[in-house]
Amino acid sequence: MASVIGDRIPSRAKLAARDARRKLNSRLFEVWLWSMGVLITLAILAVIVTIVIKGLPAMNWEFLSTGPKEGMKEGGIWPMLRGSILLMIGTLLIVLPVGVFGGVFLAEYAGTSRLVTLVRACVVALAGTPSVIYGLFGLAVFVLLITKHTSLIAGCLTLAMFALPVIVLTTESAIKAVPESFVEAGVSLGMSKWQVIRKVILPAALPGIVTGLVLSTGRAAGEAPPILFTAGIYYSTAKLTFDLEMFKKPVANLPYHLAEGYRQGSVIPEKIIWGTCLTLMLLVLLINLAAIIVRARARKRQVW
Amino acid sequence: MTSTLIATIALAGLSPAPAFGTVAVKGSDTMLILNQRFAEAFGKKHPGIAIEVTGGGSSIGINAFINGVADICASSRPMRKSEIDRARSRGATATETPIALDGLAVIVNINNPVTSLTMDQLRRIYIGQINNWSQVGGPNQAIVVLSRDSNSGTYGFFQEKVLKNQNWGRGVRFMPSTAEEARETARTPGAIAYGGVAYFKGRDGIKIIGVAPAEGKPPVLPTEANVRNKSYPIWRYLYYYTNGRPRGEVKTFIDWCLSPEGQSVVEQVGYYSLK
Amino acid sequence: MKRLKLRDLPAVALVYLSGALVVLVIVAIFYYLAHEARYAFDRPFPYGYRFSLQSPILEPDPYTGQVLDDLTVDPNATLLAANFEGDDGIDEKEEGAPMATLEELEGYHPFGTGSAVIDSLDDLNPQELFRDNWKQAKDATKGDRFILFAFATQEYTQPTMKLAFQPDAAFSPKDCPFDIKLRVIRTPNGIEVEPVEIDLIQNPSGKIELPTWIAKSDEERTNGYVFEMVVTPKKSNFTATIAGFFKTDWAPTLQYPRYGFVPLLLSTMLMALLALAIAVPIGLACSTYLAEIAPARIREWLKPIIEMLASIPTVVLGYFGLMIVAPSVVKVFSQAIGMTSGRSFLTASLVLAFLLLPTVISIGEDALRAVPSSFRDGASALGFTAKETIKKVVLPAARAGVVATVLLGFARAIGETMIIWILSGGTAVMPSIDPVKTLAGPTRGMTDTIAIEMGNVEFEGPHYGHLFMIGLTLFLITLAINLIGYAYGRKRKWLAS
Repeated sequence: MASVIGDRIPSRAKLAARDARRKLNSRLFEVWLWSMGVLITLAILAVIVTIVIKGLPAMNWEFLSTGPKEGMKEGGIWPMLRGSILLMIGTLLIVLPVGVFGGVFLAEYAGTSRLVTLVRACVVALAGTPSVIYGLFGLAVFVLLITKHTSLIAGCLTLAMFALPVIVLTTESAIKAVPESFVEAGVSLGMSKWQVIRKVILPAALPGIVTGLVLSTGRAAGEAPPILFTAGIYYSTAKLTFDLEMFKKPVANLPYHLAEGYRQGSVIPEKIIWGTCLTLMLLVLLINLAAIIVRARARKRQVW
Repeated sequence: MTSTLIATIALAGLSPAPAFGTVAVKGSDTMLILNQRFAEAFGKKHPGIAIEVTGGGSSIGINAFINGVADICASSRPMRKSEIDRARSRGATATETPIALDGLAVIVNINNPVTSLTMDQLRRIYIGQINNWSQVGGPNQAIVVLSRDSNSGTYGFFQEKVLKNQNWGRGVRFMPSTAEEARETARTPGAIAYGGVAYFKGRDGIKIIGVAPAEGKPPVLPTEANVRNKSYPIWRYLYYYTNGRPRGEVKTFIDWCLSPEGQSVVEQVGYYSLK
Repeated sequence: MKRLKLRDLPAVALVYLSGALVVLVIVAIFYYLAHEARYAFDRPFPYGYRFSLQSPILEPDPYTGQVLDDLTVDPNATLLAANFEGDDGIDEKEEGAPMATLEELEGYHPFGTGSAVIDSLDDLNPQELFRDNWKQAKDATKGDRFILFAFATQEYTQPTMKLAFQPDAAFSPKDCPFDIKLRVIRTPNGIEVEPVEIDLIQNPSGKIELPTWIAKSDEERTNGYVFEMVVTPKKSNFTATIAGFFKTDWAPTLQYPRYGFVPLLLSTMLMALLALAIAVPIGLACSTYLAEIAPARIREWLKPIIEMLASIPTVVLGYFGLMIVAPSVVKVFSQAIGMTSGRSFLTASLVLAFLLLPTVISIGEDALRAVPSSFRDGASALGFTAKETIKKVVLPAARAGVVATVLLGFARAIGETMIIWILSGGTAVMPSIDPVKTLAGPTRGMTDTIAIEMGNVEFEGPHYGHLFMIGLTLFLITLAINLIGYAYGRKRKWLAS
């Protein structure tokens, strides 16, 4: 046995050469991976910077605070911005209770039976379902079946459906991240299960839940397909008011404006299109930024 | 949860009629620009009446009309019989008001010696039977066929009127806008395209060619006079549909659209005024 | 843990209700997509054939150089058709147009064909003869029968004449769920011919040569040859609709609509695959860098930037692609693959690949991080270099996670709407076998077809139903891929072995 191995042992010099080759090889591999990471980051930065540069000339207070005029060729995008914000708030209000309680259910009440695993898998799958499917659903149910016309509320409900699975999942994982010792402490104090959830788990998981909520509503606000058939309006001379009546009417909003802008081709000038792109991107980015700040603050306070 | 319940209940209980003092115009993407311009100009004159303009397509407008949630349905095609019947079964009588006249011009590259085509030649070009300019008296050069995409009312109209409902040839390229068609035609020597006359007037690199209504008839150019007297073969009306005769604010708006002031907006957008 | 207190009950009920609601959403989406897709099965199956008499001696067509075989534009042809709506899309005057009289034909055309809107020859009223015969289209379970008269005028001198027939423009017999037969049911007095029966589905166009028969007066027009076109059902409406759905031609706006969604399906799949082929190697390299090599400080900088991409709305990315990427793609590839427009398969796939990067990178990184560090420690104890550790230990251990990354990326790619809508060029064609042609040419996928066409369909009509069928198919495909991806993502290969 020993002699066999002995025959196979290469000379010292050969070994050293091979090691050097291996090291170089590995080094090159690392450089390659590094360059891919840098390349992607630079590409993403380039895209964002391009959108900012192209969009900035249109940006000013007037652009954000007035409506379009001269056949959409001039003026601002306030009605669209307002519509997007309204859609987002409406979506958040609808999805907040269902999503959070749904997450609590999956994390704490559902157990681990096969059925529940299947439900969880389905929620995961729903989170990956294309937004255009939600658009179809919204058209069939909220528009054609219930209200018979497009409206802000139909758009909010459709977007809420779209955002729901993600919120359920983030809530569930935020709750699961709460250490078991917290729950035990609660139980030892004689709390009921619901009291533990309300007084111990939910406060501890709050930053995670808020982050999930904000991120998914932000994403929903940028999606065009769900509101294409459910909520959009192109132009209105009506005064913009904030009342209940508003929910029954369709609203102008940023993604719809861009989609129609594309459909109409060259009616809306490029400058305004870029400005709208930038506004929409900033809107979503700002929301995400808020989420990141919430998360960072929570982390600082976190002691476990 | 509660808010969802409330939302759902509120949703179910919504009255579909738009609020007092607003006129909802829904429908055709072709007419979206026209509707928007109408609304803008009308709004300056009548600040008390709000006009809401929605696009999405003729059928979105027609459906809204059938369900009684649009005051005016803008359509670039006459309503189908089945649609009128459905509207009637829900208590709405579709009343048609032509609002503008539209003529589609055919354009080629400026350097193309061909000055006119017959309707039949045009059809054969778009269904792919004729694919070289030499077959219609031009140079030996392949024809690059451009069209609007299927989302536009112009597409359907051209398919019906010129292609006699035949299928587009395999090589046809579909452009998202008429402006894009014009740009592409200007830089492609063998190109042919169609679209509203106004989009093409005064553009460099392209020329509008005459169309002969039938074999052996003289070609006609889509001038205002020729479209008006219908000697130019590719024209259509653009319609507003209302439930019964227009009343109240709707009437004020439609009357304004048909007034000289409104019809000047029609010209400005690029269609032909009715008179 | 103590038992539930009574005053907590409403809250707990709410939690259960929310759980139920989440389940309900899944069921509801499936149910309503299927519910609306049922309108596809209300589809009538229109068909139409044109018939015209011709002389055996024909002049060549000035355009194609061939003998004019195209009856579609022959003004004398008789059209026997069942259409969704008789007047829709057709010059309205053609409906109810009377059969040509001898006077009208004089000096213009030596033949005449026509029809009477009757079921049997016994019902014939010589005053009510029409050039064309329209019927309301039936669903695939109901048949029909048409009668056709053919005669020559006294101007005609040849001993024989031909009845030419061909399917109406845009009607494709092979997609038709009916058996359609053409028979001679009566010959004029004194003329005997072999029995003629032609299967119009197998031989949709052709000619029957017959001895000339001349009508001397308008009353005699119906005394000549009489044909019948018999339409009998072959399939149920359901199978016919499904069969039509799996054809390769998407042309729903035609008068004889075709709802074959295979080109849309294939285009979507191919675009997603190309995007994955670009995004997965680059993205995985990047996630390997982030998970295995990058120092924590750099990672904290890179991750938020990559996550930022995930928050750019896709419609904005689509515009970016249209105005920035498309022109450069044309510049680079116009010579190489003859690309003339930036709205093409290639551009759409490139931007799609870019969109996939954050998904691929973050799921990939999670998969790599899930590999226990003891694996790496073991590898370095054996003297492995970084490359060898990654290639031989970490990546194989994370294989299930990598598969999940690819699957979830694929689901994301086939579901993307706005990028494809803006950049694909919008032409529904089968991908060509020639890859260059496919890459350079326009295309159209499933999602953008739904988004583009939904605005212009008649709601609750067959086209609407078919768009929901596409939606349902897409939903089921992404559901399946996501479920498999989820299962893979949970699998820890090193635990199993």
